[in-house]
Amino acid sequence: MTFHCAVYFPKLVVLWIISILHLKISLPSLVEMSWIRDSTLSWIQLLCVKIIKNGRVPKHVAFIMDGNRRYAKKNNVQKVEGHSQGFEKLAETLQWCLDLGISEVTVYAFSIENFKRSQEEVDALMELSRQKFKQLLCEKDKLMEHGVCIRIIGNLSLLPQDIQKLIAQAMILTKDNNKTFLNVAFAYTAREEMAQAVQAVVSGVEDGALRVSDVTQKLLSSCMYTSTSPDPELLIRTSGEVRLSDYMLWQVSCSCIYFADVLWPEFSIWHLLAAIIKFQRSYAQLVPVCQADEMANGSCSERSSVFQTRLAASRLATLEELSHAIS
Amino acid sequence: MTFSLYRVTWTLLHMLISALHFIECVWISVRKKLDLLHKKCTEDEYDFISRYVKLFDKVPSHLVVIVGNESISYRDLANVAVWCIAAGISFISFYDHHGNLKKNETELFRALSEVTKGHLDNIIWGKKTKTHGLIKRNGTKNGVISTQKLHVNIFSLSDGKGALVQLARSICQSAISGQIKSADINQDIIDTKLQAEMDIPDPELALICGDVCSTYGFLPWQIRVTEFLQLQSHHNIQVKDFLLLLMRYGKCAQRFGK
Repeated sequence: MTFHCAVYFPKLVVLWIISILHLKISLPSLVEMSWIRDSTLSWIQLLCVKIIKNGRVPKHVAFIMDGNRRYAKKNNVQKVEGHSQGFEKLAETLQWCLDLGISEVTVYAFSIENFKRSQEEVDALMELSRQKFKQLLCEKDKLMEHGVCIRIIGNLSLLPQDIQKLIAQAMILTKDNNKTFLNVAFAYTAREEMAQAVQAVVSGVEDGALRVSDVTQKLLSSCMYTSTSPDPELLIRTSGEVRLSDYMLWQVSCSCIYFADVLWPEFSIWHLLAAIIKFQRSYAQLVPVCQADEMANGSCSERSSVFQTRLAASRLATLEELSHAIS
Repeated sequence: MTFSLYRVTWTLLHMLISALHFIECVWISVRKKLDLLHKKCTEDEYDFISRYVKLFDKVPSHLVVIVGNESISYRDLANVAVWCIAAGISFISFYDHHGNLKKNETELFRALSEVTKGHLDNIIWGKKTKTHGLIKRNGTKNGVISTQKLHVNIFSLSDGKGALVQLARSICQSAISGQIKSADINQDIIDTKLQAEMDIPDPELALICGDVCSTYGFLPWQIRVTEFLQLQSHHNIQVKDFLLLLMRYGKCAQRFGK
């Protein structure tokens, strides 16, 4: 019973995300898909989900969805088809995460490095995300009903202005929702994130809001794009690549990393369950690392908490401004 | 009732996995013993490695060993360092988040001198190591330039996020004295400054020892494109294991976002 309620959650959101990079999918079929589709799990898979849920399940899982284009090549279909399969997979995966009780998911949708791809591909991706953000905003009632908080992490200023506006609107609309969290890394790299955190701190010192002694690990963490999220406990990368590719480098210091040797469109519930079993077996050994990391956080002066509040407020103000911008 | 049934199944599942894992470990150690018996008749390790790595598409220039939760075996780490020289790797870093390796650097030094039989000329101790200050960098002996140098570094948890915090502080100082403006700060400046501080290229390959796959907090800035491979244990690591890992790395293709 509860299972069904849980599954219901984010079909729309999920499909929207999916479709961000989804190249050729007609709108009507998407809408159809989002509302008719039920859980894709068979009874035996469901049973396994219930068994695995008896152990510790990560609260926050980060994904690097890699292998769409290789999948297309392997199956002799167009890149576009690879992306579309990949996005369908994301929808499914987010459902599985909810079935398992994972309340926060962060996905790597578009890296700053991806701007280096061919102009047509980048343009197509941007056009598509534009459409999907619009669609998302049209269906806000469902988002609110299911308590979905959407956050886009990355350097928004690299994106076309109208997309910035749509992103800002979506984030502001859902900012107070707190049942489930979906973070989308878009125009993101970890190094850029760390650099902007340093920049924020330095400008705080310039303004006299901070002193040099206030600069601690904790302060830097709170200046990252992910300041409002707990660190992911599990990171899953598909396609058999064993790199982090500039994703969440600051945040994964004590996360369990799972490299799945499968292309993203072929990722199945079994791979996800295997990752969680691996997490359950690793978790206890990573606790001391997390503790050591926390110890290194350093103290948080009153000045720096004021600074953090101000930074959060100014980021929100920027979003507000973007959302009202005339484009 | 049903709840407890799931719970029991869960426990059984994990017990089964543990059992399989145990069998695997036993099997590996038995095979290692057999290999050791064989080893007596194999040729010189150094030549063997340097000949073998020529077959790989690429060899990392900077290798990291993340010790993880394992107890440290200095002798095995020293072996890996020597094999790196043979493989043409110019940087090796050892990382242990507890900081034990850093504390006991002399042990590693001793193990290295033992393994190399006192020929430490090829080894340059990194900027951050204690040995760095003790040994002069006189790599050339009688005018002969040694072919292959290995830079050895030891890192602990505080060199990761901590280094970025330190850097942020020093940039703040510069900002106060008007040498830099916050608007000018970007990724490249931070990268250059950290490079200067650490004196290492970004590692291309990291070997994670033990069953748990994690970075254990290893230098977050530097691991952007590092390949992570798991090593069951660094205890009793054999040339064969080392070469197999290098072979796996040699086959990886990087696309850099494209």
